[in-house]
Amino acid sequence: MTGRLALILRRVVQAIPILLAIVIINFLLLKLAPGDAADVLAGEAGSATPEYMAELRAKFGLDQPVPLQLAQYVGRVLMLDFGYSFRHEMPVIDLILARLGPTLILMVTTIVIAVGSGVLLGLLAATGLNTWRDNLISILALVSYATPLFWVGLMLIVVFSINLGWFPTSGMEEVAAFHTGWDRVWDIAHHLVLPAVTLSLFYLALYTRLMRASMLEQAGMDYVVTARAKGLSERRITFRHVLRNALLPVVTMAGVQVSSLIGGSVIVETVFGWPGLGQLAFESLFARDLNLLMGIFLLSAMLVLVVNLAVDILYTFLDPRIEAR
Amino acid sequence: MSAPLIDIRGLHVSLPPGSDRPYAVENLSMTLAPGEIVCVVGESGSGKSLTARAMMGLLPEPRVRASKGQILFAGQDLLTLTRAERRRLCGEQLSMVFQEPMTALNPLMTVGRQIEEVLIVHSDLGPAERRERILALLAEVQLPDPPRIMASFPHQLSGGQRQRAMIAMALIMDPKVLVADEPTTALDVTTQAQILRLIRELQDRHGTGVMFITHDFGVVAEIADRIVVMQHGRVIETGEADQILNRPEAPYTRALIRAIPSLTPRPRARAEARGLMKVDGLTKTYRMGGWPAKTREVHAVRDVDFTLRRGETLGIVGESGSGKSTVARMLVRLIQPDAGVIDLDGIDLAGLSKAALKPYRRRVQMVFQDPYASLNPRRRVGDIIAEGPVTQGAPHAKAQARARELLGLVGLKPDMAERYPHEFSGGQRQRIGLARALAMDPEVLVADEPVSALDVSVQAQVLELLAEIRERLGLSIVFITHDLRVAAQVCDTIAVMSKGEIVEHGPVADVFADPQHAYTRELLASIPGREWQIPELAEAASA
Amino acid sequence: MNELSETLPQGAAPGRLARLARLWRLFARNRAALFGLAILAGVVALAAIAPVLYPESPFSLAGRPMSPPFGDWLFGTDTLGRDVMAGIAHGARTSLMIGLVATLVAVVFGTTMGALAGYYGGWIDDLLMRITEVFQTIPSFVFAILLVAIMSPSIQSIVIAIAVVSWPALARLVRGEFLSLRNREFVQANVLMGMPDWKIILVQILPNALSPIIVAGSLMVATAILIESGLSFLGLGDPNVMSWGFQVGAGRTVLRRAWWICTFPGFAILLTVLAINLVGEGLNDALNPRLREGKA
Repeated sequence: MTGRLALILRRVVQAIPILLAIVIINFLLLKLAPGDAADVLAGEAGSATPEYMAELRAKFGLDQPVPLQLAQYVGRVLMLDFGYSFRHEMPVIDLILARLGPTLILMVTTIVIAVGSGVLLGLLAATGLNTWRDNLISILALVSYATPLFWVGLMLIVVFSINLGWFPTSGMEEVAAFHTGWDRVWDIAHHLVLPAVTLSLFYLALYTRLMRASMLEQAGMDYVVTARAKGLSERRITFRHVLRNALLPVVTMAGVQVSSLIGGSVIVETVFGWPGLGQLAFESLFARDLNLLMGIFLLSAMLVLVVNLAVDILYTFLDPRIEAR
Repeated sequence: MSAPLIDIRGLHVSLPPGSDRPYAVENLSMTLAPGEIVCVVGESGSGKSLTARAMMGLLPEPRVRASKGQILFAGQDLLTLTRAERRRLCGEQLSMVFQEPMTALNPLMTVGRQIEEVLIVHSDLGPAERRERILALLAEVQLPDPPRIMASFPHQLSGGQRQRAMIAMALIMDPKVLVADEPTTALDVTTQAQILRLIRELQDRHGTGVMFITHDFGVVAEIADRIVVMQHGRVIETGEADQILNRPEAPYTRALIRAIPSLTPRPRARAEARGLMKVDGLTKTYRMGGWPAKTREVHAVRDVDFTLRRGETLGIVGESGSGKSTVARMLVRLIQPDAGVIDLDGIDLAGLSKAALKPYRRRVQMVFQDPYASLNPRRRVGDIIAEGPVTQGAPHAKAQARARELLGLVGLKPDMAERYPHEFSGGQRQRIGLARALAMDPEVLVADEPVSALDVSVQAQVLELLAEIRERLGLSIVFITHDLRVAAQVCDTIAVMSKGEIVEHGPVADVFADPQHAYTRELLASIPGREWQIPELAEAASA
Repeated sequence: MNELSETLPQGAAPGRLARLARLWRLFARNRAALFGLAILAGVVALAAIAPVLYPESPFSLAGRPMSPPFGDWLFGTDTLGRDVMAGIAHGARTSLMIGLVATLVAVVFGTTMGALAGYYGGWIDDLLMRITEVFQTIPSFVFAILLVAIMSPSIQSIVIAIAVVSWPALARLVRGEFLSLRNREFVQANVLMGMPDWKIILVQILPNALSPIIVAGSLMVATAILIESGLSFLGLGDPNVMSWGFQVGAGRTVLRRAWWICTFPGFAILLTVLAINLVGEGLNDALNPRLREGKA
């Protein structure tokens, strides 16, 4: 038990310099971007005198040496002060928190669908190696793996919203309907189907392929031969021995993929008008609201760090060998 | 003799088309009676392991399959049974122990659970009875604290403990036949002796028929009632242990036995008294773990002293983890020692910087263990040998010419310089590795287990070559080995290492005849087949 | 003596040419890979002859806006009356070019980082892998968006952005290869010769690590094309260059009335990426014969 605690503690401490590095990269990007906060604000106001600009710069600390600015920036970020969105006239963090919920709903649903069905399909393919079942699953996975997310989204809209009229084309809920309670949950779920399916498709393909390969690799291991020598049935060998070992790389990959999932949600939210962080990022991109974009970027990086930490902890429960190291 | 438990008749195991031979096992017939241990001996590629797998129905079908013949068990041909019928027998009537207990056990399941599975499948015992039976058996295979072992994962046990657990798993249903496929090959010699004793005892108590697959005649001498000698998939000779070991008839068996190094040290010409390499206080400590866990210090090598005299072969023997390989790598400075002096003719190699060391690299060279990993698969043999001198500044053409010469010296053809390593056998690769070391004109050769990956017959040839070259070039050799038989034949003096320290050091004849340290005595007592006097066999004329 | 001689390995195949021929045979055994290669060849051919087929700029107006496909224009026209097929042909040039160049940059950089980390180990490894970890933690597509937005959209900025988010995976792969090869005895023998580190890395180890690098690199081209199409879909493509993602993005608003504007360019992306993935897997099978066993 102490071994596991020590391991978790070490992981937490290791995450700190990574977080710091990300904040610094963020700061450098801000510096790299054309114009500073004063320019933006002045631009908003229409025109400004040089005196006013200098006053603004002093107010934001932009007249101070860069290292000092960096230190102040790091300090602010650690207090979750991501700056101010002049476009929305709101602190960035408030904007982000307001949009975090929908994104989390979309991402969690996607992960559940993708990992769940990916594992299942991979298992089905591996246990029916080289049968039509395996071939069908492998081909579907291959095609899904090559399809651009935005295109899948649009094609699903064409088929299921425009032609069949089964699902709404965009949004998270029927705002005008003022649903409450379970009606609202049902309404959101109805809106969620297409975006979640779109976003899961690529990852589902990924996990299917990974699970299949992992099952096949484990099936060739010595301990499987031992299990066979013990007289166990193939079914028991697959489910009791191979499956658990084969799941380990899938869990690792699920953790790694969270960071790419956030990127995917930018596209999917844009296509489906899902009011989450991704759509906010898209809007801020065109409003040239750099502070907001940076804030989203920073928060999503933090989210990835947290998820990776969670996966590491989960892993210690799945693989007894981890503690030994 | 009672009726055989197992009666194999004319077994053929066929290989997939395109293999170098059509059958891995060809027309094999043998029997196994209750309560007897039959050893199947052979070198790599003899088909001994596939025979065992064919019995257990573990061949990688359909690519490799038993295509002809019968394996009769209690009058029933195992090869004609359905999968389900076979499964009922496997684990209950017939069971198997494997070579590598680490990979043969599921890493994510406790040992107890893995043993329990056999009971779940083959018996209708309740959970409490199952537990009781497992604990009793774990005690019988002499594992300490059975409840703790039951709850342990494989990685938490030592190699010997894992193999004991494997044996317990194989014996839990009290099977009539136990197939053991090289069960002690991955273990250290002292552990090997214990496991062999254990198998003997259990087999005796339960009347199990044991089919024991091995490549090691020492192990055979230790345990066999009857022996089957195999080569290239065919049975060469079958007979009682005493007959095969002491009066073998087939030329192949005779040649194999002749190749086994004797335990009686060879008389040695006196080496020059002058020391060439003086090692003093050599130490290497590794620090493991770190915050917030406690840092553990592992003393890989602690305060090792020895002197290598000119023209002498110094053996460093010990089991895995004794630190012998770390010493070897420190001598050639692949590992930087933490403390100590490596004095070569007045220069302290341990203290030189990387740049200052470069001109001295030449003088101490190494021959490696693994014939497959020690040659770069992407380079021609000629380049591999010539690279060293070229790096040290020799002209390219001259180095290539010398490489061809050296190939001749190590018993290969000079025109083989144009080929790639994958075209050579294990023994040939070790010769190339030797040529590469010799190309640097070294004074000291550090040989790290140079023959332990080779079959015994090839091993004998490489050792012979090494001795010949040592004489011819006046080399001094530090010879690292875990095999005391090899040490007895090759070394003038030996140093016995245990837990990072040299526990005993002296002329090889003295150490073998009168070991001073308790560990040396244990080591010598564990050598398999130490009581078997290898017969003096004349070279077969008909070979 | 002869009864103790070892059997020699069979089928020695010396020479570079023979090795390539053998590789091709192994590759050609995989029918899916051949299929992928054929599609890829088609896309490359289309990109090559695009300026001949459609000498006019793909942005120029060809005719009536939103003409349906399979009439005067093979794949119809878009909202402004641009020929969709001309866009696809010119878009092929963009996608392949950006995919290849970005991958090349990422492979060179990632291999360098991975090789240094794996070969030297110790604090160099710690430092380089920590940096890699930072880049892997950052959500890659969001990072790419940010980079392109800051540098302002152009071919160069897109290539840089894709390379920046792609190299970490390769660095990890190469590090793993180097870590295991570095401890091989042949490398230790090279150290004992006094061979300089750069020579051991480039001449001795790298050739042995090339197969996985080639496979990963080929699959990376596919990912790069997907990232590029995503960026240009969001409106972050080079405004002067036609691209598939841009076409889909432009047709999005009229999805209800003119489905073909989005459909065909998207299908082009799918086919190209699929083809490259198939070829990559074929290469993997041919270069790592070990993995083929399971399928035989």
